[in-house]
Amino acid sequence: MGARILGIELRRSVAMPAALVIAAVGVFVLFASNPPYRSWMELVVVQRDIMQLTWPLALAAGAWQGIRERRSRVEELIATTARPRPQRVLPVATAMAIAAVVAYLVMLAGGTGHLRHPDGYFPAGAVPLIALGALALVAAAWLGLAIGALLPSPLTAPMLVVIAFLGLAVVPPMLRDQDRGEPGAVLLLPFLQGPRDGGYELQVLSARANLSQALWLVAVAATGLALLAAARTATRVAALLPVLLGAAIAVPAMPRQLAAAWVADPRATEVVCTRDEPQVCIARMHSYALDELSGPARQALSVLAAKLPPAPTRVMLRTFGDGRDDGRPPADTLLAFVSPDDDVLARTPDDLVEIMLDGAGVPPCPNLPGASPGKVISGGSRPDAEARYLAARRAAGAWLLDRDPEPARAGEELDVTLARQALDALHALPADRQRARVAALRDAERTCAPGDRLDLLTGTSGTR
Amino acid sequence: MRPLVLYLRSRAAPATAATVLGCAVALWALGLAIDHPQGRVLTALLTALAATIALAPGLAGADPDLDRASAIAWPPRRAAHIVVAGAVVAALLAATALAGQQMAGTGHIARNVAGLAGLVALGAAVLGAARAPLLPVIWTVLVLRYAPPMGEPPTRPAYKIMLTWMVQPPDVRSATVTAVALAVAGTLAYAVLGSRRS
Repeated sequence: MGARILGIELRRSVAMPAALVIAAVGVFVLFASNPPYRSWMELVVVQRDIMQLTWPLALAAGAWQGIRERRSRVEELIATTARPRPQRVLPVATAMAIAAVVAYLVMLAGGTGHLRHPDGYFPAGAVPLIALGALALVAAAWLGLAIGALLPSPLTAPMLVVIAFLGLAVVPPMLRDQDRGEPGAVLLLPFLQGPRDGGYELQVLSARANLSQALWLVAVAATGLALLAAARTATRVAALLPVLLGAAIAVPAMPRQLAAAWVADPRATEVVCTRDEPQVCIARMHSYALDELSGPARQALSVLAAKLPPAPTRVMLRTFGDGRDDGRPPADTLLAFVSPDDDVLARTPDDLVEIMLDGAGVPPCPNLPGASPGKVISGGSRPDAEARYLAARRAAGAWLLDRDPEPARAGEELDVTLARQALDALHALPADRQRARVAALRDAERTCAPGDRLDLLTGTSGTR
Repeated sequence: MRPLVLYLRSRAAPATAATVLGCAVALWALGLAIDHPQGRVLTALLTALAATIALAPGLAGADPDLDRASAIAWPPRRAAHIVVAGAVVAALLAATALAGQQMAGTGHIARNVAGLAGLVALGAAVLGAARAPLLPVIWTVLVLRYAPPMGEPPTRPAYKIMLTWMVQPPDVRSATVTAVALAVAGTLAYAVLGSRRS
């Protein structure tokens, strides 16, 4: 009986057309507002972010459904039936909930078409984000049903879109504190913005934030359903209880600042390795590139074996700022760094080899000037010592590959000029002296011994 | 005079007028509360949208068969209805400038109300009066991702300017042309076809 009515409601109510419209709008915005997503986490967070748009639409769909009886002028007729109101509204509420969940999942499925690496790392922390997004849409649909039933005007649905959209656009800036950023209470709003520092790939929402948000959304949905099912004024007032209770529990449970709700995802930066020789390892978030890396890795290792033995046997690409131990790598490991938002596959194999062989395959020393990994190289002139250090590393890579240093990008002109000079000085020497100089640089880099690396390479120590 | 009063009553003009007035008051009140310039532009657009979609239910009478059977030339009257209603909405919203600092220029309001009213009329002709707000609401909401607080309106190519006409600055010619074209098309479609029966 119940299933049959539900089937009829699914076919005859606005549920499925609304799901279609919401999913279509969502997919359009997912595609149109951003370049292809680099990671699953980015897609999932952006889908939550655009709920600023999809949430009001779900609210309006509910309201449109909620005024159905008035629109068809059967309100009084239906009110005379003996069936209690809660039983009567349950099938339509279920149909709208199904529509909301379907809309959210279809939107996500459509969004994967705009994902660069669908086979990439899917963090466990994305699952609650998806589930809470679907739950928020269900809450919106049920709240809309209740509002439509209480205010059965033809303008209710469109006005709800405008009011909800305006509210969601205007309220967060009002809550924002100039110094401390957004308070944790913005988690009460249905949409979720990614971490302010943009590191989607490295972070997940904390369990505490997810749980308090889930509690709040369940409370909103419960209030919507209870308001819809209530037939008398007293029960309607009582129906507001869940949302008040939910707010009373969820708000204190939420983190005080929104920034604190985002926590590091250690699994994303863990390295995963290939089984076959030579072993290639990369952070899990870039694991989609593992197969394509083996060629450049083999090339880098063979270059090292030919020109600078003993060569390492393992290549590891880690992520800047992954918060892991920055100790020096063992001699059998070639360690290089890429940036977390770097699409490893977008780089050419030559480029990858160059990254691996920078500094003769040893990562920059954190104790030397301006060489901290993860530092973004911006335009403008940088301190001389920093340029000299990076130039020496660059020259060592270019010597190994027997090619000119790469043409300079903005802000790197000095490095490249210095690297070219060093390379010329190096090439003027006999072959075994050249190798000795580069090996000396590699040894110095391995131990992070202080001293000017460019002098080490050109043999002009003492002039500075 | 009496036929006009009866017509207005049959088309829910009092309720519509009350809603539009409410929107104008809301625009004025929000103008006092919001002082961020980009937030003001967004609010002005959304209030214009709310006030314009309030016209939708009045685009159909209670009984389409009765309307059809009467010996009245409906097309010019329908055209007059949407034109006068749009003008009243634009005038009321622009009048809020008299009572405080202006949220958006009169030309800006007039362009957006004209284009949105055209969309409402088009929606009534194609989808029926009850569903008429769907068209302007979805379009505006989609375009708002490019409105100033969230993003910048595109400046080229031409088709993107035309698709985002409601968030373009007031002096952009092709945006104005798009709004006027929508107004004319909507008025004509509604005048000729009337509200679709739902």
